[in-house]
Amino acid sequence: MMILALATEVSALRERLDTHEQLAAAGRLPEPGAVEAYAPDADVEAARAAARRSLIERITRVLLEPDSPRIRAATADDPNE
Amino acid sequence: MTQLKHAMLIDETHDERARDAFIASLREFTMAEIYPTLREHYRKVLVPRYAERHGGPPASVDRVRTVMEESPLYMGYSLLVRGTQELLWDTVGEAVERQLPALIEKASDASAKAADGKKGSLVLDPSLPLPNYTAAVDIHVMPGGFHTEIAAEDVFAGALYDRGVHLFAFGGLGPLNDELGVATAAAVRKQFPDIAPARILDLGCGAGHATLPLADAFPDAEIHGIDLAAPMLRYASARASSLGYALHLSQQDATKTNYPDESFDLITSTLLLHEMPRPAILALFRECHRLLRPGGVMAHHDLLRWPEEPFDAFMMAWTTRHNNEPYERASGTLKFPEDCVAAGFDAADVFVVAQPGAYLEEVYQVSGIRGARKRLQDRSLSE
Repeated sequence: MMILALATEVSALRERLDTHEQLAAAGRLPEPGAVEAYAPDADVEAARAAARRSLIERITRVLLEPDSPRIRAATADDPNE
Repeated sequence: MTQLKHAMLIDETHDERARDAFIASLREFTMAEIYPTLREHYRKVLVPRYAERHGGPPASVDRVRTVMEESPLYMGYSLLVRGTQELLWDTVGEAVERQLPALIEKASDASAKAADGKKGSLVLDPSLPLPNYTAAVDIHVMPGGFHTEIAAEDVFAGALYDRGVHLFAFGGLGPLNDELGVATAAAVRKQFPDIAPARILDLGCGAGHATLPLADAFPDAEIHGIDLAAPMLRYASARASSLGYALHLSQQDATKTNYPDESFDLITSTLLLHEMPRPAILALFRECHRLLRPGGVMAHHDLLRWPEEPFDAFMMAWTTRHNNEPYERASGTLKFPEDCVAAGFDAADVFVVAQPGAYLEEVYQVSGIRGARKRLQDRSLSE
């Protein structure tokens, strides 16, 4: 599943970028050691969880809309039925 | 979703933690949102359409299969679940491989400590034959299964499973992945308030997730655990030591152990039976009867039944079709009390305790603890 692997990487990259920004906001340089040692507080983690969910919702949207025209079109004229 | 840190748990980089979090979120979302949507789609769209053409709803699992395998939604769901599973092992596996030498060294140190009596013990048997049913398949698509060794004194499978199952359950098994084991111990205590086991055996103990709760529930007991897989046992031994527990672990086949008759007061298993074909499960029950002292109890935490409703049965078998769980139906279709009676137990001494699936209630709504107590006086001897 190429999309899942890519989405995982996009999510990880976004969190890394966020870590950089959080460090900068605290007046720190995003050195490798600081990035590795960074632990998000509850607010940051909640925002990240919401961003993960949002990304997952976008990727899986077609599966969450069972009555979507795309799915109906794909099954309506099934010759096997 | 925070896993309790112990000496054997892998260290992860910033990005590995981020990947883990995404994969766990993906699993949770699929089970909590997409699975119910799929079920609704089946009931509201696929069943009426089928009924219109065939005069009634799909009446068998095969009919459901025909309907579902033509549904893009089901295909999407299947790709998503299987893809997430592969991604999970691949992601955690990379982190384990990176630090495998250090993990092996830690495990060796812990084993050396475990060897000095009080701290428990670890006995491996490289000559133990691996049953075909285990060797033939990588259970739940975990690369190499539980038994494969990729290095000397390997602990890869144990480290992979410990972190992997935590993400698989999106943290729902608790910080120590022990929720099912805690439930097993609690069910035994509740069902048999008088039980005070001196020796306990946990079958298929794996990383020890369900073994340590036995030590908590029965602090005076000597706790033994057996498993077919050496990498799991090495890991379990070191994990237990680092958490302050003394276990006696050995590499054995649960259907034919080397313990003498009547060695244990309590024998447990958690999520073991569904990884075994029916003949092996029946052999395991017979071995439990042989190993139990009079009044002793066997308690197995696993599927309690297999759904009869065609859609539920079809979806229950998803893991069999697509996630390398070939034997799952065998545990769900065991005959209670008959299969226990055949192993030597009395029908009146068989028990079943439903335990709603904590983290997968939607899907695994049929799990719990069941087993039997061995008669204080064996009727077959007194007759």
